[in-house]
Amino acid sequence: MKKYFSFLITFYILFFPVLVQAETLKKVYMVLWDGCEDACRGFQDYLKAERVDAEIVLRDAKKRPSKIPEFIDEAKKMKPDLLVTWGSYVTLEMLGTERNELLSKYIRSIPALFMVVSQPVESGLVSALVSQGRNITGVTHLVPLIEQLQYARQVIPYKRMGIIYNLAETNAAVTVEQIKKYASLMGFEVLDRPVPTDKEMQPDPTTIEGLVADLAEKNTDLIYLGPDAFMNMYRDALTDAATAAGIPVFSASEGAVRNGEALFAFVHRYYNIGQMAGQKAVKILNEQMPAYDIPIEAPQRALLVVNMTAARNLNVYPPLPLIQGADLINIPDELD
Amino acid sequence: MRSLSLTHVLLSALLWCAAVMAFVGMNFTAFETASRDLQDSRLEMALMDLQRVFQGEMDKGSQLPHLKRVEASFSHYMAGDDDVLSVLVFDARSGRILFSTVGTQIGINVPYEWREKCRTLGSVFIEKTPKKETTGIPLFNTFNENEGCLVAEHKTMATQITHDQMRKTAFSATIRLSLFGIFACAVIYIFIHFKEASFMPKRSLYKAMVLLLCLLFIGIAVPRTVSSMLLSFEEDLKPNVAAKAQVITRIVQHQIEKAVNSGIPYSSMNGVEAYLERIRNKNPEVLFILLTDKTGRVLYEAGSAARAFDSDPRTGKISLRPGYYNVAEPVNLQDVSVGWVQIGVNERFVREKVF
Repeated sequence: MKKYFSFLITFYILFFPVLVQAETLKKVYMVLWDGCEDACRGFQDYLKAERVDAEIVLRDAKKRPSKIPEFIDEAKKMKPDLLVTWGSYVTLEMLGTERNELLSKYIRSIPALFMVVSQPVESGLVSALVSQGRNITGVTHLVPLIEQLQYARQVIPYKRMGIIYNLAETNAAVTVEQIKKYASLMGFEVLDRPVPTDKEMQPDPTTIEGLVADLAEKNTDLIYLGPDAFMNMYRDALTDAATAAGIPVFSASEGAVRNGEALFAFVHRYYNIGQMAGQKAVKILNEQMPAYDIPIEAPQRALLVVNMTAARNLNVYPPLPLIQGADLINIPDELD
Repeated sequence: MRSLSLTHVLLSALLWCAAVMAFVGMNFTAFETASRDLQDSRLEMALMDLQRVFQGEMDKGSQLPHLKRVEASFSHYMAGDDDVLSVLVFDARSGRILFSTVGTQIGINVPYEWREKCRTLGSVFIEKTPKKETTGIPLFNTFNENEGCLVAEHKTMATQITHDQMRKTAFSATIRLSLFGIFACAVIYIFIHFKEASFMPKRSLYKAMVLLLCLLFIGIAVPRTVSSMLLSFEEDLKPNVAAKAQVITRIVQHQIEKAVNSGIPYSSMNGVEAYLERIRNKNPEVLFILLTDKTGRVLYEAGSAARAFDSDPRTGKISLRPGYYNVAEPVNLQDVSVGWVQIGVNERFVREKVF
């Protein structure tokens, strides 16, 4: 008996910290679309820096939509303290829109945090960025359009902005309408050119060059490459024609600047998006704040990314005061 | 004149002394304030530029503890500045020093008060002890969360020495100027009351002569003393003016070098004049900022450099006028000089402000 008691006491002393930790250890279920990239790393680094006792269960869809229902089932069974989703597609598939959130196929009972969702209101995920009405919060990654237009004015004082877009894409059409609204306030002219469709009613990429030539004829100062999947797929056709015509291209995303010939973009880096999502996660996990009380935001400071090779080809350079905070990429090998 | 009593003379002498003290005091305060402003703004400018560099790197997606490469910028601004004891960055969460110009400081924790004081966006914290002064500015990430703090510790001895020298100058000038007035009052009184001792035959001419001589003496001695006092103040201020000009030159040099080393042609940069003009407007002592090419040809200019230079019509040689100070740093494109940053400072800026 004495032996039995001493064994129990030793066991308790040895495993007490483990038992306590198991009670305080939070569970975070994180669903990714295409591997753990910068935003995912930023999120994990933040939790580590804040010493949050959390176990992060990573699930990667590897770009396969069929994986999402599996993750929904697993999350429902696991009942984590927080569900984190990456990107618009994963978020909408896991949580549904505000209208259809009550459908049983979506997750409702777990506080959710999204990151890298460009338009949470427009996509129907939430009805507002503050007091969102659902137990969801998150971090958007696009710099607001009005800010993009204002920043762009500091780089190039444009009076005529051209936009070539796919009319069939809601995002692109909405963006053009918004730009037109802001144009009257900011005092510039918008020359919008929808891409004509072919016989199969699909947008015809061969017409892009002609549209750029038309914009050049109208003395366009700048072309905007917005959140438009079709135009981003054919961005090289756009930027090549624009460079040939001497018109700079201003992009809403970094990809067209980094991997293409677009001149500049104002963006938020994914690592910072992840870190900001981490900050919100700490509020939910450690401070017990409900997700619906945490506003959906984007980082405060936008980063100017400039393609210096495109700048040299166009002989258009950003003004000196903007250079210090900017990320100047694709620097030519030979400098003047 | 006959009614000139001793009381009148004493009152006049006292009034003169009061005026002298007010005048010297006003100048002393102006120069002493300028000396402190130069010291504070010099550190603040360097720290704010470093803050932009750190925050810019964080905006690009780097974490503060991983910004070791930015540490090299410390020496760029602080090299040759004997007043700076150390420049360091500490982590806002733990208070641990991440980088420092003094290797032994790395890893140790800063006082808790520093962490508390260095938290607010747009604030500068200053802590003074008898031997050193600490200036710190917070570092914020892209979503305005306090990540760390950039701190410079510097000696207060130089400021104290300047202050003491200025006090000595002011004291000696006050004594000299007061004595001139007292002496003039005494001369007027003695010569008018003891006219029998006079060798001058005509009374009116004699009075006029005495007055004229006294006025002449005051007219020569007072401006000379005032001028020597101002020159002495300016001499005391010189090290501060020079150190700040050096910091401004390095900030401009750093900015221009980033641009040219990123592919922007040195001769066709945008917005340079506006950038230089902004710096000039913030710093009243800066007369001009020039960016020249290798041969000295001016490419960009803010302010007027012509005022600071004299040119010899025979030889065509250009030289700096007294009262102006010039600092130059090269602009390097991949270690090859493509031009110069030149900053001209008006050493008499306090005098011009006062008068």
